[in-house]
Amino acid sequence: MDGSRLSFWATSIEIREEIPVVDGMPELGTQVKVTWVDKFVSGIETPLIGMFLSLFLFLFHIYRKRSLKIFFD
Amino acid sequence: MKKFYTLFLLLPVSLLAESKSYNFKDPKGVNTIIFQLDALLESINGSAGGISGNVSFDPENPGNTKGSIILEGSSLRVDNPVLQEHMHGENWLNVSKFPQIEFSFSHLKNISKIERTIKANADGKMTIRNVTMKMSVPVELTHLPMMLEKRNKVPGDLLVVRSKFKVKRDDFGIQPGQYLDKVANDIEISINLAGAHPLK
Repeated sequence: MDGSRLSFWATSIEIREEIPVVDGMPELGTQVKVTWVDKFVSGIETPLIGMFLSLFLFLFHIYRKRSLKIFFD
Repeated sequence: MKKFYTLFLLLPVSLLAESKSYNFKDPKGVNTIIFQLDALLESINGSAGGISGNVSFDPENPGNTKGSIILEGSSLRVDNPVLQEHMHGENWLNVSKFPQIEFSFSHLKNISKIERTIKANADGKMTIRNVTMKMSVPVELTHLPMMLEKRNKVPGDLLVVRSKFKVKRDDFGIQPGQYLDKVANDIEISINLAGAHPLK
């Protein structure tokens, strides 16, 4: 179980595959082969933070624009 | 006189049943140790491939199995590079100062055999960060005579060692009592290793 965790991004991913200890004879047992692949994987936190930041800047921009409009009127 | 002859006949048999040494440095690069730390807020998963060591095993006398498995600390890998740097760093495993993690054992106890698999407990010592602790680790050994050729293209025997156990990081002085919500104290370790005894 991976659980929930704070993860902005990962630069590599782990691929686990079960392979026979003796080639072609899985009945004798298997082993887990781990291969690391360099790959950028974004966590959900990164786009969420980007979205909230954009929303904040947008609202701030509107607020500033309205404030100026009231000021000039 | 009859007893003497019986003993005389059994002597070569007992000489034949000797321990063979199995090397766990896998030329195929499949031997891996998988670890997991499942804390309240974070779960850390990773693996390590820098495994070496030798185990002496006699299928006729599994109780006398002994040896050591060594892991290069720098081969421990997780998916996040910053986390990996911290894990290798001075405050955690300090792999530059303590490059190896070792489990050595002198015998097996509580042995049971199911078909070709031997289940037992390996009594030994675990050394992490130069701290050595006595541990009894459950192990499963599968002896595969004359199967090395099909795996490594070299005639010989294979010994597969499987185990799942936990170590506590505070037992080895790895930030004891610190960051427990993010880095669990219990480190779950899963090993599945194949050792080779090539015929000379």
